[in-house]
Amino acid sequence: MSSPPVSERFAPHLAQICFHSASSLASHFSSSPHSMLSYFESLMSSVEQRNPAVNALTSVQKEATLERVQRLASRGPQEGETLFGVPIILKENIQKVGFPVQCASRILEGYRGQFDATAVERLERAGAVLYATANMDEFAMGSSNENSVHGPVRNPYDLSRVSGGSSGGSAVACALGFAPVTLGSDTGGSVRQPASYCGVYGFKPSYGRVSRYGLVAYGSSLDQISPYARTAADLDIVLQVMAGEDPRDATTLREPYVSHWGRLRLDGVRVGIPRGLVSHARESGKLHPSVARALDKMEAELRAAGAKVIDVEISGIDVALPAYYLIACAEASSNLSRFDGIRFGRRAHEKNLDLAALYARSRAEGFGDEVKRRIMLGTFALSEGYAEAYYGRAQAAREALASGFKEAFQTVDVLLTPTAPTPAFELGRVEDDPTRVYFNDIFTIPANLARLCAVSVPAPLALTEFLPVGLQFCAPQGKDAWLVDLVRCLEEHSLCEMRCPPDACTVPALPNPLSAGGLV
Amino acid sequence: METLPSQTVARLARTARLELTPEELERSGHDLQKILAAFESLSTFVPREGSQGPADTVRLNEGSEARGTSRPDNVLNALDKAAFLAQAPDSDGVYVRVPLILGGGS
Amino acid sequence: MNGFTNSRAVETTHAGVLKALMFYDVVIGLEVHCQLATRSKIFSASANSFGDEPNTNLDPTCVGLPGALPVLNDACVDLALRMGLATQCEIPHRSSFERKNYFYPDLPKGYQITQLHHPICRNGSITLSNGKSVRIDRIQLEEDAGKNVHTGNHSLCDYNRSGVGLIEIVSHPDLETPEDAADYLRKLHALAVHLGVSEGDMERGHFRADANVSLKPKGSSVLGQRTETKNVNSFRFLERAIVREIERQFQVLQSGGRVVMETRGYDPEADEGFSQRSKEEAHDYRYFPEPDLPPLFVTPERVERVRASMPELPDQRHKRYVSACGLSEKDAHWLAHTRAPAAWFDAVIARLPKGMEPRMVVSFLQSDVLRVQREAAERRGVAVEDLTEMVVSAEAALGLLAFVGDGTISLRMAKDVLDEMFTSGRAAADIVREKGLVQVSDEHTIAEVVLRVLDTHSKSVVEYFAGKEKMIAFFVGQTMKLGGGKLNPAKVNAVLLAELEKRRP
Repeated sequence: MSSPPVSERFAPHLAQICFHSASSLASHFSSSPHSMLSYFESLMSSVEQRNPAVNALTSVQKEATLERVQRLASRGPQEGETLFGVPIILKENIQKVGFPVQCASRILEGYRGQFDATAVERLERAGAVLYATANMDEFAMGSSNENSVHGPVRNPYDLSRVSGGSSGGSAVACALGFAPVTLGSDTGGSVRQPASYCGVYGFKPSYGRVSRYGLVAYGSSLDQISPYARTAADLDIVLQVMAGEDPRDATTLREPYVSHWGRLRLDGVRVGIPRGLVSHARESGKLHPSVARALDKMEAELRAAGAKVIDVEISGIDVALPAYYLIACAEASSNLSRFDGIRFGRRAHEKNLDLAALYARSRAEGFGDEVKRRIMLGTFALSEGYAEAYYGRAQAAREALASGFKEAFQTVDVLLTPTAPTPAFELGRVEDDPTRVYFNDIFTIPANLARLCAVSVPAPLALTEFLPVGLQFCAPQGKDAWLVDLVRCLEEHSLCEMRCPPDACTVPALPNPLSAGGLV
Repeated sequence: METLPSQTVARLARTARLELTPEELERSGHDLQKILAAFESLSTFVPREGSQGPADTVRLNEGSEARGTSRPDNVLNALDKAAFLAQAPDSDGVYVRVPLILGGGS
Repeated sequence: MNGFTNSRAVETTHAGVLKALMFYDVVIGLEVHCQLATRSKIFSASANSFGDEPNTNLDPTCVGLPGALPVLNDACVDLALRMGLATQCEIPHRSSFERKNYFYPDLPKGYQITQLHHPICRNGSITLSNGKSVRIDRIQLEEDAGKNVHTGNHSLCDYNRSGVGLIEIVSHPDLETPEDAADYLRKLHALAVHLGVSEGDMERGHFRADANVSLKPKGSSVLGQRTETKNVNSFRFLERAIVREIERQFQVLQSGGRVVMETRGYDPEADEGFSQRSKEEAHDYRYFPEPDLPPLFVTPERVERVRASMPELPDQRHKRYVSACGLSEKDAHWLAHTRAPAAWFDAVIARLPKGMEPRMVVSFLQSDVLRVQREAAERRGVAVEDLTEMVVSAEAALGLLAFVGDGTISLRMAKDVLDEMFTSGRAAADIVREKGLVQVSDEHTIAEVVLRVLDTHSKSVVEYFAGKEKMIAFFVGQTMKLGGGKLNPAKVNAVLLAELEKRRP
């Protein structure tokens, strides 16, 4: 397809009206609940027209949604419903009763949620309307969203390119304004990297910040439900609603999320750049020039705003990649054992298979190649004779890395790196060597290993650059609210840029509930 | 790193209950080999003094050591039998059904 | 080498085992799985209840739905601690959980949450009836699997039991005979039931034992190859299973063969063990720390709280009965190891009527109350051990004993009243009043009877004064008999001695 002329690629002013924030929608619907029904009708119909080009969504729950909206509209907002009427989209690995929770896998064909995730319960209690499910890499394993039984997700800035993964569908949905806030899950960068490829915020909370109850587990000690949004304020609201200790998840943090909004100034913030990590990527030619430029620009602008930017070294970061894959795959190999075709999901049809053969056939038929690869790796890492050398060492490396971060955070408040080494790459790129694909995660996985909070923000780009590039900020475990406030500062200083993908300008736009006339 | 014997790969597949064709087994062996070679740096990694926790226990949350998380002995049967069995691939409405398990119970 | 010697000789009555003992030492270790008597399961809030309709006590966690998570039940921890304290275990400050990975339809997640490296209790012991001490290596918390029923071409899965809390109690291989092993299991069982840790119903599978058996050549310091006989849920069958396994191993070794490590079962009908060796290789369980559960920290405060809430242990009771109640060692030991009778006894002596002593209560308990208990069991067609309550309650007994204490009736008469209470269900007071059962304490009336006895047996009186002191008992007996059992024994004694003095030549 031919891309629109450069001058038409950016229409920053449209960002103000095409894509309403969650907070503005909530505020509007709270005072005019009667406008909700027609908004949602238009929204869902618009989304159904625009989705096929990008394949971001796997279902739109029309009936259930209109019912809920009808009920909300007739009773009006209640105390504490800070997300009243706000449309939100769930990655299809998050449980909601009656919704398809297929995890982009054949083995869960037809599976419907039998209980609500805690995050879902909390969002709904705040008045949100969860109306659709998003495409993903199978069982959250992948960084391109090409490993999906529903087909790949396409990047809205260039349909021949990937959205990133594993939470590609949610990223694209947010980028295209299908919802102001969407949920993904982040185990090694699965929300931050697509955020970087699609030009939106992707925020991975500290480990334990948001309950994992209801999130289909991939790497249990690494996973977090993570939101996409287009404003820092929306991140703040959504995290306030979702976060907090959950008696059904023993790994949640006891300390509550207390908003830090408005308290931070860039002046005096100490920003560390892990120079070794970044230089290695630069020197080995793996860092794309636009990413390098974005990073350099951010560094300069931060200094200009009064922040202190210094080099740091994180001890143990060299072995983060192998440690991550061995731990994630080990945990995944165990977490995915429940997919056996016995109590739910797809069972092999052939008769006269004995039990072991039935298991092996159901799973072989039900899982895609990448999932099988990771299960094999994980099984290996834990198997007798190898567990100490692989899983054991990986855990030791992990804790060493966590200490390394702790040490670094004694001299800096936040770390800055690119989110991904390159912008979105082409779909269907054949990679013989799985390890080269894994390198995509080099900047994002340390935060999961060390349980930190981290956010990808879209960098401002020169007019000649078209594909979004994200930069990542990481803060210590527990400092989520502070990090959100940092994003607010970046917004205020125009150090990040929320753009509008081309298609938003050429197809029927969303109704604008904020203008009496309707459509823009 | 030593070469992974092919019986090892076959055994892994059996352990993981994955039925792989001979071609898939071979490819899997290659993949594993490549990945493990790329992870060679881990085998020479020596953690600094005092930087790790107990080797056989995962530290979950920074500073969460002093906090246990448990629940009181209250009953809640949160899953409805009919809904549960409805999603089973084979059920008689009372039990989940599987091919006969030879060799008796667990 | 178990590094641990019992100085007592090894004794068994099983001929086959005796044969083996001529050449080998028998080495037995037991792993006992004990279901915890909590309302909900160990990591899931669904109900822990036996015998309900299949698949009705469920939640996402215990059936392994994607996205479900485990959370530890405090009550399970407290019960494990009780067991640990009662067996003198060490309670480490920190313990943690692992996943044991394997595939089976009754294991929904494809792994069991258990404790491997850091169990909740370590290094305790149990003393057997013959005085030998058996070391307990560990007590670990874990979850039970669901149940499979086999019919025709299918196996049917019921997940009600999936996730029920268990403790696994692992002994050192200190047991030396099948009898000792059965005794160990009985003691463990009695303790678990006494403490309220488990309901201990063997039929319902609350208590299951796996026996590790091996033969070690005499004089050798190297243990023989062991086999594991799993899931025996009866004391008698355990003893038989071990006997048969010792005999089998002995035969194998004597014929020049090698014992192979294998998992075995026991068929009680055939009185034979059988191999359960699967056609596949041994399981690789790929243990790793459970990432969904933080470590468990047990504070000294919690340990003390559990200790304070524990029912009194038999040994403590024994001491109390001897020192505070003046019971004989024999009576104290017996009583301390009962359940309902001891509870009954404690309730009675807590409000002991004036004039009664604990020793009298024990005697009454043993000769009369328990006799009635046995009769009741027989009438109901059950074993007397199966009655969890005393048929004659402490309350009812106190009513009766009050009359004994104030001298209204004698202990001898109380027996008759008790029988009447049991058959008619009426209270002691009603029976005593209605039957006019008042013992005679009036000295004149007693003297009349005494005199009649002494007159009738004048020859024996002469023998008494000739030196036969034992005649007193005879005179007392005759007097009581003549008095229809209604005479106050103490008074009879006093009056008798007085009248005899009058006749001293």
